[in-house]
Amino acid sequence: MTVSPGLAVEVGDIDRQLGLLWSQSDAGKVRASLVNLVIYSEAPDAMAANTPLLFAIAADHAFRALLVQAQPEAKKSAVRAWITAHCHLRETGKKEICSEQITFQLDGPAVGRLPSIVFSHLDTDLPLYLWWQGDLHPDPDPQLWRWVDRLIVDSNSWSDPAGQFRILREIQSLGRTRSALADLNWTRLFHLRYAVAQIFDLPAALERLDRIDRVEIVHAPGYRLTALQLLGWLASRLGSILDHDDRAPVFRRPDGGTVTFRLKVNQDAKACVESIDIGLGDATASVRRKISGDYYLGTFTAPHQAPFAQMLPAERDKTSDILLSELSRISRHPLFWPSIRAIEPLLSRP
Amino acid sequence: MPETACENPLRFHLVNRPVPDPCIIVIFGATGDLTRRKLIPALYNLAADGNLPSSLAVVCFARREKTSESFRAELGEAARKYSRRPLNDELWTRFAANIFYHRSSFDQPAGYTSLGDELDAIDQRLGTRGNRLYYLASSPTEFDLILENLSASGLSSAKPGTWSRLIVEKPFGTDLPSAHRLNDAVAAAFPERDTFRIDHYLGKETAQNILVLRFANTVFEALWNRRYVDNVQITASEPLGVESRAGYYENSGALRDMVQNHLLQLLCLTAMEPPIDLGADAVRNEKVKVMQALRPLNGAAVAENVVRAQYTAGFINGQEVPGYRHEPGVAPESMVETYVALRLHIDNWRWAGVPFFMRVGKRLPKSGTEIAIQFRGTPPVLFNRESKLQDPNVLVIRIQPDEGISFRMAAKMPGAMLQIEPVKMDFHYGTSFGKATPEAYERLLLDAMSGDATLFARRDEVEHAWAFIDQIREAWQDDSAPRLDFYPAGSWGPRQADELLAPDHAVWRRL
Repeated sequence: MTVSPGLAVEVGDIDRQLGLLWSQSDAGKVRASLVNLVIYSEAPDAMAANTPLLFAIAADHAFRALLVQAQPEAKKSAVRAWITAHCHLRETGKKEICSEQITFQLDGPAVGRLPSIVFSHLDTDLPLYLWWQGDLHPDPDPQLWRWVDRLIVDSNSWSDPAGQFRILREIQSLGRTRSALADLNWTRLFHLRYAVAQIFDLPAALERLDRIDRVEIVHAPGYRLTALQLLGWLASRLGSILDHDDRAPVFRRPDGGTVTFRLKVNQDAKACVESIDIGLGDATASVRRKISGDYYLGTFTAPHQAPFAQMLPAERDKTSDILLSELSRISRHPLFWPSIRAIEPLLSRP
Repeated sequence: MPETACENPLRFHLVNRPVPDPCIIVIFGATGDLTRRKLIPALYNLAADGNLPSSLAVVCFARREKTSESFRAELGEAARKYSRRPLNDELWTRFAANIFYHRSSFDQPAGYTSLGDELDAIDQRLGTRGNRLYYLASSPTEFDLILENLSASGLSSAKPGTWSRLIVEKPFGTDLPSAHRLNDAVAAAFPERDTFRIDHYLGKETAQNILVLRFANTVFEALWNRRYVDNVQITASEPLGVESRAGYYENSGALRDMVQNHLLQLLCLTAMEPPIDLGADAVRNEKVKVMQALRPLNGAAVAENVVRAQYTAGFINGQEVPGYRHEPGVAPESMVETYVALRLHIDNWRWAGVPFFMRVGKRLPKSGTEIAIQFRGTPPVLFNRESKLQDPNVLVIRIQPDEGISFRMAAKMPGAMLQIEPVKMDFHYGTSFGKATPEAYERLLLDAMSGDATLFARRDEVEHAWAFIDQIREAWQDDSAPRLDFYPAGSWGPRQADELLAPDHAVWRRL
């Protein structure tokens, strides 16, 4: 689906044009906004890729979106703008709920005006969420970051995860910054982590958790970092430490035992992370993505135990669904950095 | 951030709510409508959202001849019809596999003995750990019998390390003596901390939001008192008539059907003091204090402060509808009220002198439940000097439908003249939060499984409410009591209800 970025407008005329847009719209539409959602991307197709995504998100989460497509390498400095609204009928007989989108094309030196462009067009008093698509810039600009309430990234899109996590730490440590951090790659794992945790509510599984000796994760091509974050979460929650001196790294449990791990790529995988098997001595806990439907199947098998199986919801893999999931949860992620630390030496390994 | 009692380290910071324990839910009277329309769809939705514990079974206890297989099929059809989420066949099959039908009449001790054996066997098979949640969904006339048998069979007593809880559906009695009897019967089988009396209004998001609005915002609570509030109006109106409930309604009427539970609960949430914490007892202590502070109504006070009425034939949405006495199953000379309006006073420091008006009625023009806080007008200077502003500030909490909050204030109309008009700031749940709101029963079942009784009524709340309602009903029995008034279907109630507000210079809000 393609959705147009809308009406081309002069940058200095955006507010007036938005006002006109609403004064001319029919009475069956109402503007709504819960958040200022700024998307910054240097991808040449950012406008085409993000406009349909914003349209989809607007069905569930009202916003004012500022979509910024930047071309820092362009020689000529230029700023162009478009406005549009994404309207959805959520309930028959009710008004359509509309979210605004302001799109900017910033070329060349004009990219440096990003903070000015953003701050001039925010919906007053609503939180500012900045979704930075692709690699973060070194030397982050404090003028921008100090006002960001939530920084959204997708570490899976980074070219150099180890270096990017360093920049991310720098951004978070900027004085007065109030940003909460959301890595969509971490959000992708929420329901999978939940499904794994649910198995260990079973006493027979919980009592074996400190005997964990093997983890195998099957993921789709391009989702190694997602699988690594899942591994890092398990390791950090169980107090296991990576022993990466050998060619075949392992985790050391607090009791000194060894946990081997394997990340397998399935070229035909239907989900980012397709399954996780956790060896617990004589028992196995597994979570597998169901082929049909948005569900995981969690299972636990152990000698002299009735087999356990439970279906639990799975995250949908579409980016708009992942982002919606993050927008609706609005919490901090205290386990994120411990999970990254647990697997950090593996980030630069192939 | 809560973790499970067994301290599963992987649970840490996954969800911001208690995780329910594995358990078996036993539904008494499971062949009734409540199970099909509400309970099973609610449990299925909890399963679809991943909110159920790792092990859960449902045992349906009823008299009719059925098998687990046939009953699962019936429930599957009902879930397909009434579930908030579309049914996923595989999820339903797995969920339904743990639904069992236990056939027994409520008065047969052997049925409870075999129930106990079945529950133990399920524990062994499914790992439900001996935890039991008994749900009384039968006719209230059967409650005593079920409770006695649960007690006599030992099923109501939790084994060490497990819990045994009871959910009771309303009505919690029909008057104070019957509520006492029911509560005594409950107390003989279950301690109060394990008793969960459901008032589904309390499970609604907007009812829960009353406390958030009041105590998570600075501006409202400062004004929430007799200095700034002129009156409070609580309305529950519906265009429907008595429908198929004539048998029940003829013995109940609007006062007992709606005011004793739902409306008084909304009143308590609106008027209560801030609790010391959000624990069940702290919240319910404050609600009880509101009940205790309600000015008693008896004799002449009822005549002055309560209006009862019954609908006659009229039009709803342009359609002609019959009067109450012509509805199927209603006695031709029925004196049952289908409408009640009350003026209440809460005699405490915060609310002294502020009237609380409540009205509930059938066959009113529109469906709506709301709480309106009407603020005092401005002093008669400046803009209010020449002519009194007609529309003082009003904060409206809409419970249903179109859940939300609106605030009416005065604004200058553009132009050279100084003309002041009311404008409305409006917050709609549906506009701001696109996500479908869970059904009240989903939240309440989850809370009962987690042992959180905050959204359930406590014994003393129920009894205080009945004591208050009974005095009105007793006054109505008196020969000198005002007669039953009548209002045409499709109107906003009888003229007498409007007159009720006149001494306070107030008028009912038009929804």
